[in-house]
Formats: sequence, structure tokens, C-alpha cells
Amino acid sequence: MKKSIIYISVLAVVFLMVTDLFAAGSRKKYFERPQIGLWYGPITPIMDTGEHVDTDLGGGAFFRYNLPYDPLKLGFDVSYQNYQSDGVDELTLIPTYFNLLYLLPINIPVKLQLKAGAGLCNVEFKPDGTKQWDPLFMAGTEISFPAGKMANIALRIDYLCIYEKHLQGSTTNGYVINAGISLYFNLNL
Amino acid sequence: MKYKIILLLTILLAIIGCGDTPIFTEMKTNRLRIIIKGTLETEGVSRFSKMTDQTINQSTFQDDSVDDVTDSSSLVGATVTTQDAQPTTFMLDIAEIRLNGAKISDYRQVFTIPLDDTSNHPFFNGTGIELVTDDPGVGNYDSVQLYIRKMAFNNAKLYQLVNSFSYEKDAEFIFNEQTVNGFDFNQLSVNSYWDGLRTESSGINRVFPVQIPIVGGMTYTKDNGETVLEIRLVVKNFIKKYEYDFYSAGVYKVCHYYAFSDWLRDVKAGESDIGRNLHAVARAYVPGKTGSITITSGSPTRYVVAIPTSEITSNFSNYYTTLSGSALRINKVGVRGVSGSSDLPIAPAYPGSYIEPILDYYLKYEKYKSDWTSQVAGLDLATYTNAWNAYELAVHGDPDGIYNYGLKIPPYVGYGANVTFSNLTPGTYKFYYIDYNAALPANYGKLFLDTEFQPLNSGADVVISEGVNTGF
Repeated sequence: MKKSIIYISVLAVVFLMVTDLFAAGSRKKYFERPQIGLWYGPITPIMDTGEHVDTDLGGGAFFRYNLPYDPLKLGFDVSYQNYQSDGVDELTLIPTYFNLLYLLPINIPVKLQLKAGAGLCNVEFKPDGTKQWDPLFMAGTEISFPAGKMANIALRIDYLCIYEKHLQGSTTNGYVINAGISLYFNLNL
Repeated sequence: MKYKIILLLTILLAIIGCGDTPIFTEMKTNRLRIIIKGTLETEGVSRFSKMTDQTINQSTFQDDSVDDVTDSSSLVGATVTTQDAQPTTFMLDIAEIRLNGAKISDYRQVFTIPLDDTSNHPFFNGTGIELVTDDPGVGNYDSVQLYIRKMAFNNAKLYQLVNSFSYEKDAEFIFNEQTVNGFDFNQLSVNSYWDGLRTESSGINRVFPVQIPIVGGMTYTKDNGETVLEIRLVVKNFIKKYEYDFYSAGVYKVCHYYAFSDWLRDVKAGESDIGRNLHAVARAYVPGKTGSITITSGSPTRYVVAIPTSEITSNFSNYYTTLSGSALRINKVGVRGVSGSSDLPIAPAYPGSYIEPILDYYLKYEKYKSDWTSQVAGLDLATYTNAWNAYELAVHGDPDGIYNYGLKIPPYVGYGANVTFSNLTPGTYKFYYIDYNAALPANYGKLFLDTEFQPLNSGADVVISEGVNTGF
């Protein structure tokens, strides 16, 4: 199922590439277009969470849209993250959040962006059998390299806090760090 | 359009709503404790006749399946180190634990446990060893599956037949990635002679997993701070010496090893399968939500047992057997060698490509064919099948029927004139006593027959309530 989703996503992107959707109006302004992309990389539970489950690989998809103020973009990010433990415990996260991306005004060939956002995270814990949505807060950074006027390659690192301390009986939150390499495209919307 | 999409996504996230379980806190909380003990007794040490009181070749300790080297001290050149000695350690390698088939632990857990009384090991002193486990899902559970990778006692010895039997070396096997002295009898915990005739034969292995009933069931909820699941395996003072026959490079060898008493499923001479002689039971309780009882049994040589009344009314016969060992086998399948008996002779083992043992084998095989033919003359397939089915039912039960665990052992067992059970799950129980004189050698390696169960408290129910100490 996971593989099929990845295949379908890649095919969809290839399909979009052959249309004029990616054709940037201005070569200089290509980065200020709406963007869609995928990321893949190590997902690392940290602090309390890291004591129970192990680092794995995860991935996700995102969409970014321009705001009236140029250096800022509004992003929507969804990913799938499955963590195994030494025993039978297994944690599955589907973080789903909006974030604001700020492009640092530094005139270098790469783009540096800072991110912060909030949303919800679907948390499933086995064999306990609990599955629910929790509030999520995130912060991160990203460095992008242009690969032509259509595509960008980026390295990203995000810190995710799945907030549970407001719940009765809770003593900790869920903490993970997502790092990854991503490929995304400038759309001509 | 673009703002509509953002608005739609925002609304979607908002209407999903958030949960109220602190999952990450739950993840680091351990609410289920699994304790494993090696005694029949629920609390305290084993009160069986002691293994150390039995001599090495005594008929109570040496099984009748030992027929080639019956006295290792009489072998040529026998010394203290070359002849049989009682085991001093029990080795246990647990691969996995499941509750009602759902995996809750796949931590490998390896134990080397001294058998002597002075070391006061928690496996045998009533405290129990705690097994590492993750928590299960909320629910009711009535069975636990213990996947035992290896089980062995040390002091296993090999003897070989070259003109006459002589000591060869100590038997060795790999335990916890190290070569140690012992014999892993897990591999023999099967019943292939007759199971092999059954359609489900390939799935029949008695220790991977051991199906253990949780008597009274276990209700696991997160409201209870901690739930204790106590598993008891009857190990201490329930050990016998067996002989395993095999050929190695054309040489006939026997291995003397130690395994659980064949009190229930008899092991005959020449047989290597010893399955269903590991007796196990589990019970669950929530600390702080239990009652206790002190029973005056009146006699210092009495076992006192408590069984939930619901178990008694549904199937008390699960807790006893009318016959045991060879008597049970004879009763169900007849006497081997007698015409019409379903206990057919066992074919000799093929020794491999060595001319002398092969000639020897053909001689034995002719004898086997003659015995088999004369015995089978008065036997038909239906009689044979029914006889073994009846025996299986008496020994290990019927996996699909009401005797789904075969013989159960009581969830609460104590010994003495005054017996206290300090952690009974609230409910209604019946109490019984069994007269048992540990000084009698004949009692070694035995559990209880039906006629030995005598009701206590005039057979009346006793209600155990939370936080209340009662007694009679």
C-alpha cells in the first residue's frame, strides 16, 4: 500500500511535468511559485520517545503556496512515519500540519528557509491498540538547490512535538526529528 | 480557489478532533508484570519429595525408559566424574510470549537457574522471576502462550557401545551462544508416535508454544495501575532421568539426560518423545485489589488447593486424572506386545551407512515386523484410532473441545497445617486438600489423582472479597 502511494505520486509528478504546469513565467522568480514535492529520510524519535522506539525511514509530501508578502509561503505537509521498538511495541505517526516558511534574504545560490507550524498528528500505538489525533507543533529549516527552473532539491530538518501534556495523566509529549532529502517542483498555477 | 482549498483543509483538520489517551506516557508505562515460577506451590518453596533425597538409579528417579545403561557406576572404569549425577542447574530460553495469540513480548530471555535449595533462587523460592514484556491491548485474556526455545538440565552424559557400554563424554549443546553441558529436551517434547498419524501432526509441538490457561481469566484495563500475570511451571523436584538412544558414525550411543517426570504421559523403553509432561498454569491479579485467606488444614502433610467455583462447575475433571503414567496408557491403549493392543511396537532406528550396525538393524527390524504382525492381528484401524484419541484426550486434551488444555494444575496451591493465600482475585472458590507425605519415596515425581482430592470447608463455596482476610 505504501509503495503504491509512492508510485502513484511519482507518476502524477511526471505527468504534471509534461504539461505546462511547471513552466515558470520568469526565470528569476521561479522560486516564488507554488510548489509541490516529496521528501524521504531518517525519522528519529528523541527524548522520552527515543527511549522506547527506534530510528527508521519515513517520507511525506508537501504543498506550498505564496502569500502576498513575498518571502513568506504557506505550506501543508503530510507524512507517514512508522517506528519499531526492541519488543513488540510499534508507533505509527501521520503528522498533518500547516506551516509558514520564511525565505532568508541572503543573496547566495542556495535558498535558506525557516519553518514553523502546527496541525494534527494521527498517532497509533500497537499492540496497545490506541489510535487518535493529537495537536502538533513543528519548527524546522531547509536548504534548497535549484535544479533548473522547474525543480528544486532540498535538505530539510524538522522538529515535531506531538503535544499530549494537556491530557489527564500525561507526563510527556511525543518528540521526533525528521530529516530528509526532498525534491519539489515550481508550479505555474 | 486557492483560499478555498486552504480553508477546506483547515476545516478538515479541525473536525477530526483530538483523542484523550496520553499515548506517549502510556508507551513508557509498564502495567503488566509477568512473573514466572518453577514450583507447583503458589507461594513459598517446593514441598514435593526432594530430588536430592532420591538416589541416582532409584526407580522413582530413573525412568523405566532407561534400559541400556541402568547403572552407570557398574561400567568398566567408572569414576565419580564419568557416571550419572543429578542435575544442578535448569536452563531456560524463552523466545516470545503471547496473550490469546497476540504477541506481547519478543524479548529473548535466558535463565540459568540453580536447582539446589541453599541458593534460594527466586524461580524456586516463591518470589518468581519477572519476564520482560510490553503491554497488551485492553481486554479479557484466558490463555498465555510461552514460546520456549530451549530447556535443559545439566549433567547429561553420553555412553557408547563398543563391545560393552563405556562413558564417552559429557553431552553438550549450545545455550545462549555458548557450548555448555546439558541436553536440550525441548526437541523431544513432541508425541510423534501417534500424532504422526494425525492430519495436524506437523503442527504438534508441545513447547513452542506451551499453551497455558489463565485460570479465572485476566481482565486487563488501564484503570488498574498494575496487573500481575503469574505463570507456574512444575520444575522443582519433578525431574527424572531418561535415556536417548542414537547412532553416531555407526556406533550405538545413549545419552542420559534429565527432564520432567513422565507422571502423566508415560515414556517407555526405546521411546524418545516426552511431550506433555511440562505442567503449567497461570493466574492474574491486580495488586491492591485482592483478598486473602488462611486455611487450617489440620495436618502438616497436606497440600491445600483453591480453584474458582466456576471452573469446578464447568469442568472439575480438568484438574485431575483418574490414572496416570503407564497405568493410564495401559488403560487407554493396552499393553504393548499383547495381541489386539493399540500400543504397537516402535520400529528400530536406522544406523546409517555402516555395515555391522546395518546388519544389526535388519535383525532388529525382523523382530519388529514379527512383533508388529502378531500384535496387529486382532486390531483394526478404528479401534487403534479410538484408543489413541481417548489417550490423547486424557493426557493433553482436545484442542477444540472442553478439555482444551488437558490436565490443568490448580491456580492456588499451598502446603502445611496452616496455609495462607495472600493474593486471591476476588470471587468464589472451593478448597480441597490432598494428603501428601514428602518423606515417602513413592510420592516423588507425582501430581495428584482424583481420589486424592478431598473437599475442605465441607465442600462449601468461600467468597473472597477485595481487601478482606478470611479463613476457616
